[in-house]
Amino acid sequence: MTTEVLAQAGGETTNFLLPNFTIVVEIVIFLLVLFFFYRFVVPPLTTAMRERDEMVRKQVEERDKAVRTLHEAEERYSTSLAEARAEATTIRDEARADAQKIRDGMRAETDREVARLREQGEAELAAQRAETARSLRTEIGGLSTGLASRVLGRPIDDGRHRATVDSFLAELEQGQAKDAEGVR
Amino acid sequence: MNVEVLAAEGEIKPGEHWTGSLFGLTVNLDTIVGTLIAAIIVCGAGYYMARRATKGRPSGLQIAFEALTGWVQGQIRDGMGLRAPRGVVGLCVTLFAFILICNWLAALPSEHWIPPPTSDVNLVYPMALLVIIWVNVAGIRAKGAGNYFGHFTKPYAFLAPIEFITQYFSRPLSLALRLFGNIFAGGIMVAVIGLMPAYVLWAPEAAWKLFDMFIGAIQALIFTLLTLIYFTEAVGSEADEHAH
Repeated sequence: MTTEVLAQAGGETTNFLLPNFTIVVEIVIFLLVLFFFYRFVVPPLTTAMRERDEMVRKQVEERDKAVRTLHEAEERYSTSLAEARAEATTIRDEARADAQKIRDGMRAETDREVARLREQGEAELAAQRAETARSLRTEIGGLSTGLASRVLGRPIDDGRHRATVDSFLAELEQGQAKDAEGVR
Repeated sequence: MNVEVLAAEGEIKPGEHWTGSLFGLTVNLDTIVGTLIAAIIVCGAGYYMARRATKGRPSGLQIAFEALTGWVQGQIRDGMGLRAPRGVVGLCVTLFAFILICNWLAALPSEHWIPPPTSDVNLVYPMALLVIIWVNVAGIRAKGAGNYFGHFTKPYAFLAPIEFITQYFSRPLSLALRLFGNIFAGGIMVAVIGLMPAYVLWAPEAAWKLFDMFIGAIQALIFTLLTLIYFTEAVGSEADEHAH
């Protein structure tokens, strides 16, 4: 109904659903646009997109590689740390053992020195005692003779009674030595 | 009813064009000028973008073109995979960008002199025809003529005529007239709104132009998407090939 009225009103109006020669011009223009796009627009665009995809892929790969390298470095670091710790422990143990050895050696040395000094002292003491005993013996002989002559009220021949005194002293010493052995 | 009366008065003349003569034949000069303007805008923007296309930091225009190309490539990959015929990406990108700019010419205030070229069947018929021919050529090249036409008789041979009519008449006609009808109706709406008094005209006019831009984008998308679907159907997906 509408179309009829329009047709009547417009007079020369043609059916707008039917194409005219414009269609040829239009298809030429569209094909030119299509050609232009194929030639100048789409290739650079798709190239840029492909290159960007490639770039992104490469960056992802590089990132993965960096992460792997980091992990390796961390592993190396922890391994080295463990090795260093083990080495430090070994060194400490060795040092401790050395110190112990040195301490033992010094203690043995000191003990030996002490023993030597003690032996020396004892030897000196023994020598001094022997010396003292000898001098005492000499004096005791004279003193006992003098004492005896004073008790008797007459002089005693020192040469004759000397042997008696000496044998007495010798017996005394012998008895003392036996007592000492008995005590021991 | 109102429209009929107005039309009868001759104030709204849908489908009337500013005509000229070329080789003695009538041509719609407004459609040709509109198409040329759209072509110049699309090619200019495309060329400007392509010259500065970079893999680094893309411009806004490049992002828009990349989004379109990426969407088309995704559709092709999902539907056809490696069987995709050469050049479909370029065809679909061109179709979308060109139709979009043609439709958006309706948003300019110059719509009365230079209507959007897609509101003339002279542009939409050849585009639909080109798509259907290309789809058939791609289908025959992918499957072989016997296989491709033999597919019409499956699963029931008696439905082959219907399939034939669908393929070669309904589809191109609906593809073309859907786009044409939507944009043409937009022009009529503007003419109707133009009959309102000037002091209220601006509000519905602005609202309609915005909505018309949305319709223009949707129609460009539908035309491109249907083109891709027809290609997918004709070429067959990789899954179909493995199934046979």
